[in-house]
Amino acid sequence: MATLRLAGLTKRFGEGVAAVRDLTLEVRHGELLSLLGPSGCGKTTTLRLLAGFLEPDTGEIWLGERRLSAPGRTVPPERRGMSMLFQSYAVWPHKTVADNVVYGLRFRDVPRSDWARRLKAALALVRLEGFADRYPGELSGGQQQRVALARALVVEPAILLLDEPLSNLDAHLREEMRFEIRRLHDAFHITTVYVTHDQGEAMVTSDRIAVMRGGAVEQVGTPEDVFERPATAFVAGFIGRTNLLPGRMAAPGLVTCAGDLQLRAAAGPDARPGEPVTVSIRPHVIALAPGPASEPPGDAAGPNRLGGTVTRAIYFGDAMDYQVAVAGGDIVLRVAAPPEPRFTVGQPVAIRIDPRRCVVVR
Amino acid sequence: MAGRGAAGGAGRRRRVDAGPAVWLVSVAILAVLVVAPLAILAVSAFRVPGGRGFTLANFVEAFGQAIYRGPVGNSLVYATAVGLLSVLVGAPMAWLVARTDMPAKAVVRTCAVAAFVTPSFLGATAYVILAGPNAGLVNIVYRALTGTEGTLVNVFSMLGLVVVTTLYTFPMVFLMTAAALAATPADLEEAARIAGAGRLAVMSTVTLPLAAPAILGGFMLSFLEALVLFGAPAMLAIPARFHVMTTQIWTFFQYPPQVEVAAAYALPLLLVAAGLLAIQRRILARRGFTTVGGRAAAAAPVRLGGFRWVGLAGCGLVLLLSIGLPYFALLRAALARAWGLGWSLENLTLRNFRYVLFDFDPTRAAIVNTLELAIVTATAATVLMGAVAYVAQRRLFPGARALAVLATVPLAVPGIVLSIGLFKAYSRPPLLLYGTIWIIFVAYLTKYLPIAYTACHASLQTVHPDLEDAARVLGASRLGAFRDVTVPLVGTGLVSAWLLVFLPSLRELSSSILLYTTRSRVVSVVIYTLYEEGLWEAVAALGILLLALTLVVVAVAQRLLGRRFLQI
Repeated sequence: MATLRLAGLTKRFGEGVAAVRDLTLEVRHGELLSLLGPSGCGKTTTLRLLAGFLEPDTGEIWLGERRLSAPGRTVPPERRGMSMLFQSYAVWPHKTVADNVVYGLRFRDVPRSDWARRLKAALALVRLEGFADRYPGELSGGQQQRVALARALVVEPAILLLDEPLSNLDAHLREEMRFEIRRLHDAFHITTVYVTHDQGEAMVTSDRIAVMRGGAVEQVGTPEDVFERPATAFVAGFIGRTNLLPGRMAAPGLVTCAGDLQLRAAAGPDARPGEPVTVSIRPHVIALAPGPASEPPGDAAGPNRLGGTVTRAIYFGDAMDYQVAVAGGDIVLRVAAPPEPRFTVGQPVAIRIDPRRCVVVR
Repeated sequence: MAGRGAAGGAGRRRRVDAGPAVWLVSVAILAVLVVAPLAILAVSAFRVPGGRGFTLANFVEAFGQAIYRGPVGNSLVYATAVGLLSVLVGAPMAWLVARTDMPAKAVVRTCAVAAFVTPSFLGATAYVILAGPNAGLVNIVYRALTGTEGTLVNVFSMLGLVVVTTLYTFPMVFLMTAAALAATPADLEEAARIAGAGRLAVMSTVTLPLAAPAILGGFMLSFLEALVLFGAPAMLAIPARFHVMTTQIWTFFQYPPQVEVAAAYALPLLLVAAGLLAIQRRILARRGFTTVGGRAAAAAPVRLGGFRWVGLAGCGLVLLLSIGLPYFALLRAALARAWGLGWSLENLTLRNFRYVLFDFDPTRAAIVNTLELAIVTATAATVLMGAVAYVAQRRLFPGARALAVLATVPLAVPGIVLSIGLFKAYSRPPLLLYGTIWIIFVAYLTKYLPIAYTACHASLQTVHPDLEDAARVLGASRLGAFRDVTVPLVGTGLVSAWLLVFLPSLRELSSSILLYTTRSRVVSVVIYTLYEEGLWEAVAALGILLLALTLVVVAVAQRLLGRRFLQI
């Protein structure tokens, strides 16, 4: 059972700000963990530290009882027993598919007589039987990515690293490959670290997601955790669309937002009364009904009942995207609602938000 | 299953990362090759000749006398005229070939490449045969036609020198400008057309300004080439009783040698060359905008109508003067018992070739030396610069970029100037190379480091670092990944670098002329000394051999490596 542990990693390039600072993270044996974040958040640097292409300035990386990285004592990439999938595929154009795939076997104690069987199995795994003698130049981008995947899996790596492997594929293929990666992970349970900036990709493929920002981990949790119970406004905003309403803690479970709007919110961190917080409300948890433009403030009509006016309505086929101006304040909410009943621009509406799905974040 | 792979690669055999060693060795070699001769040159310019202590007397000697100041002015006039004339010839030709419907564009391009690889000292020899004041073919024909005793053209003059040199420097402007014009996206011109500009307005407001940096860069390179050229000026200016700076430096080396004065005299040449290259780089660096977004379609060629034949005639005339007539003259002299005797079967012979190849020891030895030097230099430069370019590009070590800068410094060092430094450095213990071909090897290697570096760098740039990283993750060491992935992928690029050093090494003269001894001659030097002795049939035969080898290598290289080879 080998857990991958990153302890207090910092990596600086030149004199600038640290690309990764004091990053601590644990990847459990057999899980698929995504590093998710916007470009420049340090996720690729973290992956290259894991692979051994970079040496940390401070901190250590451990795989079980084996120390892989520490300042001045970094095991080179070739002695880590890992595999990696690159954004550029990095399939060698001068080698056939077969030569690409078996390349890593020569560095492992795999008898040559076994290579053909392993090659065949690996190609079958990525559904590229019959392509062994092709050159990469004769393959499509998706096929090249499968070759890279076969090459990574054939050596039975201890750790699999994926660096935005799908970002060069077209949208259709990308979606297909997401499920493919998940399928392979369910079959082999190789401990995997997956770098991506695409939250949909992370949601589909991951056991857990580590959301990164500014070189550090903002939150780690299951896809459901980070979506339903984001710890910070950044996480809430980065994963899925959301309405972020700044306010102050009034009492436990009660937040005062702009225009003396009182919102009841169930989940969230322990914040003392008076502390500034943000309330995250996903567009799809807001319910609209025809009604008067203003509701009496307070809980008279029940918690989180507001009045407002539709200011924009966009038809998306399977859903409507509304913008609703809340009465008595500057707050504008985005609402995702079913196409029926339809509301039109200028129409007064009653707004109801389930307090259990209002999340207080920092 | 997951745990197994971790143990797989490790421990079976120890892999040593050779990177630091490669870096240290490269630094040492570059320091010896580049820094040492320049430092020694600079110091010797201030040394008391044959004594101890420092002095400014060398500069007083070098620039205090009118007879030595004259060549400075001559060089400036010569280089400026060559630069301007090269642009006047090369830029319009480039436009005709790159942007119009002129016929036979591929032939013009190929002939321009042939002119590009023709050594100007052979062109000068040919023009002495063609346009010498007394025995030149043109003047003989002129006298026969007019019945007078006059001279139509005299190649032994500043004008003659400028024209002959330009015939071999204009291809530089041509190739650079043609590349820039071809890279100009059509939409930039179409945008001007839509905005209301006519064809001429598009030319003057869009096409020319976009190509201007390339044209200016070509001017500077032609200027620089003429400034540091030795062969053609020595053959044409000295008989016309004037000197340019390079030939003047050469006279300082004649008995009794005044090496310190030569060093003082050479320093301004070095500074001018360095300054020009710095300016040229700055201009070309700003060219970036013409090459981005290369996906745009090429512009439709401009229809010239009847003028396309005028254009072709103009190109034809230039190429006739540049390679047609000279090759003809050389071939004729090479096949003649005596070149002045005219056309007849009795005058036709192959004995000149037998003479230079087998009978005459100095030429035979020179041919062997030249081939040996060119092969060894090209190999050493490619290996060394391949390593340096790799280390610099992957930034394997702090300071790796400095190596790259060091490798391109010799670009600004004229060959004849470099030789003075090398002569001072290696004509005495501990490293007594003078008198062997190894000092010439050091000169060639140093001189062509930038070419090799640029070619290696360009081909390495096409290999995504991920390709190598992928091999390393799977268990290959850095050297293993380099061998398995990078080398096969940049193979043709390395061959190209090798050829780009091999070709100019075959004909190098301006460094060799100060470094050769009777025991270490090369073909270019022998051609020059045979020329001085008036053995023009042998010169022509040797020249034809040199040209034939060069053209065959270029043709094979273009077949193997594609048309882009040598077309910048």
